[in-house]
Amino acid sequence: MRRILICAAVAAASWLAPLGARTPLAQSVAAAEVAPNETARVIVKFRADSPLLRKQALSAAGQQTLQAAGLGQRVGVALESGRGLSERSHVVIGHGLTSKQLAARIAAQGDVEYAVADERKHIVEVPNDPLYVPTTAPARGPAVGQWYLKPPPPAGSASAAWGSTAPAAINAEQAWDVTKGSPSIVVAVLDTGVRFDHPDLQGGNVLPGYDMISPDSGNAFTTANDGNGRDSDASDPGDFVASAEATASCARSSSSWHGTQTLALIGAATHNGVGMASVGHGGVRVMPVRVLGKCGGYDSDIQAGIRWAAGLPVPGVPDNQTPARVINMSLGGTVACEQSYIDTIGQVTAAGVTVVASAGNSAGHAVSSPASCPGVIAVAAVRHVGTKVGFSDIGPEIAISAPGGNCVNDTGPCLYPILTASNSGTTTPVAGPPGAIYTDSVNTSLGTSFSSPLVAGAAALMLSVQPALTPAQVKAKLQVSARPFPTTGGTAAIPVCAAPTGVDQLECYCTTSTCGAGMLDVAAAVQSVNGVQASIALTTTTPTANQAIAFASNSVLNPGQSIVSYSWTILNAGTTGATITGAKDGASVVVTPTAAGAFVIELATTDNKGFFSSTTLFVTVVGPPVTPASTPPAATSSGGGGGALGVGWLLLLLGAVVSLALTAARAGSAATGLSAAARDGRRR
Amino acid sequence: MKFTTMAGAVASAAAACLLGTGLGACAAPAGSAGETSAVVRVMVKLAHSSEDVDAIAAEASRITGIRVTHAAATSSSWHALAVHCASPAQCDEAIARMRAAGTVYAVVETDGRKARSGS
Repeated sequence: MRRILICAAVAAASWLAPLGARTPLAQSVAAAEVAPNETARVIVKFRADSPLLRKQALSAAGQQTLQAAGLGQRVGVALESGRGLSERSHVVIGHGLTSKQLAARIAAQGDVEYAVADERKHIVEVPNDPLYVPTTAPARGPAVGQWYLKPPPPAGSASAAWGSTAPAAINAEQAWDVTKGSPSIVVAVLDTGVRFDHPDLQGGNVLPGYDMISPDSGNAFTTANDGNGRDSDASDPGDFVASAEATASCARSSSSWHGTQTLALIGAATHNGVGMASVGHGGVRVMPVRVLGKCGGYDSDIQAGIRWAAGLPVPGVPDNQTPARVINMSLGGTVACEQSYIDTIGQVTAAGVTVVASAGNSAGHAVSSPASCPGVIAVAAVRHVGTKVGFSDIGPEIAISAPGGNCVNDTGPCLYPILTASNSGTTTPVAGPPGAIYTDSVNTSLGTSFSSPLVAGAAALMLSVQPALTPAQVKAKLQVSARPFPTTGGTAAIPVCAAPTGVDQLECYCTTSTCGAGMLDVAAAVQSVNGVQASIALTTTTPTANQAIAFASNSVLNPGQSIVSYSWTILNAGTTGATITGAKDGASVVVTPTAAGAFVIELATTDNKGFFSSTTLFVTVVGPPVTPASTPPAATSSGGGGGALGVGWLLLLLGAVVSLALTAARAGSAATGLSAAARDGRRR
Repeated sequence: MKFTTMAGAVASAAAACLLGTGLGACAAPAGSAGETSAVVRVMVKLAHSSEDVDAIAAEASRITGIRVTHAAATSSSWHALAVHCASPAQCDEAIARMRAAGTVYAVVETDGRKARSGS
């Protein structure tokens, strides 16, 4: 082994020269990093153009040994090659420093795409809530329990082997390994209120909330059904519609306890040996805001509820002392987003509140408001196999899909409902243990109403890890981390989903233009924000050709996080001729375009936990300054004036060149200084 | 397949009726206020924010020429008003007058209803 390493090092040394100008010199392990008994394991992925990837007449293992040795030469640590992961990535092993320290050194190499500590994972804690994994099939409950929260089965596996999970399951367990939710994150559930006495809502994370239902005309309380208007009691008195109350548009029905069902999916106490588990694991706080009563609720009350939940003032109502970061609305109505919703949602998203809403259940028709409103994360429903469930609405407004429950069979118990907390009362609530029930295979929970809280709960976990995320970032991260929709496995002969045309559209194979970016994967969503989030700040007001444009890292850090490496790249210079002036591995850079147009700049960061993040910024560059006002009048005249203009322009250009040279010199100094600061940060 | 369609569940008030105007959801039966046969709830965005609900209602009554009461506030800009009409045609006319009062109302729209999207 030692001979191989020496030979490899010699061979690798010949590859180092081309990189000498853009990578730090090999250095021995700094005193502060010495950890004699440590064995460091790092997963490294090389950029496609890395000289270390040059093919040699060796086996794959031999090639990786050579790569490890070459890399080790550069970072000053003898590296062995571990398991290969792909043509460009494998594990390297070193001694005398920690995995994170080695990852930071390797990540600083210019031809390394990322380097992260190859850390041990522990057995994921599975909730002990009896309905999460029923040991015996409940008399009325689904034998698969809370299938929708579990890790999906291996791709391509036979359905007979799925057990208590399914391909559309949202993979919450591994997310809980990262976070079980922070009480600083509040999710407001705008719905029918809640049954506060349900045993699965006794975890101390259910806030009092508010009842936002105003009187009907004539000071009647028909909708509210609690004998009063807006007040601090968000408990659900029931929303049953008696025969005498029913109309053509509001059918007779039993009480739904809908708010208890949706809120429990986000905030039920978890791993407490009682009932069900929830996406938020009982860690995030949930806040009922009652806006729906008999036959639904008024837009004005819903919008007041949105504002109050977000901490914005509502006339006549005390301010919310525990503003929400996420709002879930499992409700809808008309298709087009009303101006009042546009205003309200715009204000709350500007305040940093993520709004999630259900698509609607009209069987493949257009997405309903407020899900159709700008800024809302609209959620469609998929069946257990990942196809669009018949009732779900779809369209380009959908951001993502999640399970909404489906029965598979036309008769007998429903096989894949969304199990959640409820009450047994058909009109008024039944108190105590007899009233506290869970929906099941007979008393089913089905609808996009139940897809939306799963996404809202995921957003709450993401914010628990990374509280600085904006609503737009939450949406983007949910989407990029979503799993792709299946193209097989649905009911025989079903079509591919199409844009709504006013005709019912039942089960179909989802596309990204109809059902959003993919199927919710909570673990991937949380992992995608579990580190420093790269962000670029453009500090030059008007990017102009032939002038230095300053960019700085505006990356989002949590306490305990630091950035150990920066890498700036011009991904596409377009017509601008943009190039980075000076160092490309500092916290800021200067770019000097030579012409108008647009270019794309990328910042990639690696943090002290080995988390890699990148972001891009599209920059529009305007032309150089126009002729100054002092230009002689002749310059603006036609014909012979052109000569004067040319002279003026040449003088301007000369001045600009001198200015640019000075600016570049200053910028180079500044960049060097910032780079040094970043290196200091790594030493810390 | 078991599911509840939202279309069938989109609701108006318990004793609601739908006017043929495409705008008004009637939220109360006739007989409660003189000649009133229906009450239409609208949402207005005030051109100049206010929380004086009595003044807002009085101004709406003046503009429409019929009784308008303040139903609920969403913010200092957006308010729900109940327009008490004697007939659908009168509702239409009242709403048209409110929409024409651009210096008072930036937006006039239905205070519609939403329903839960699941069983």
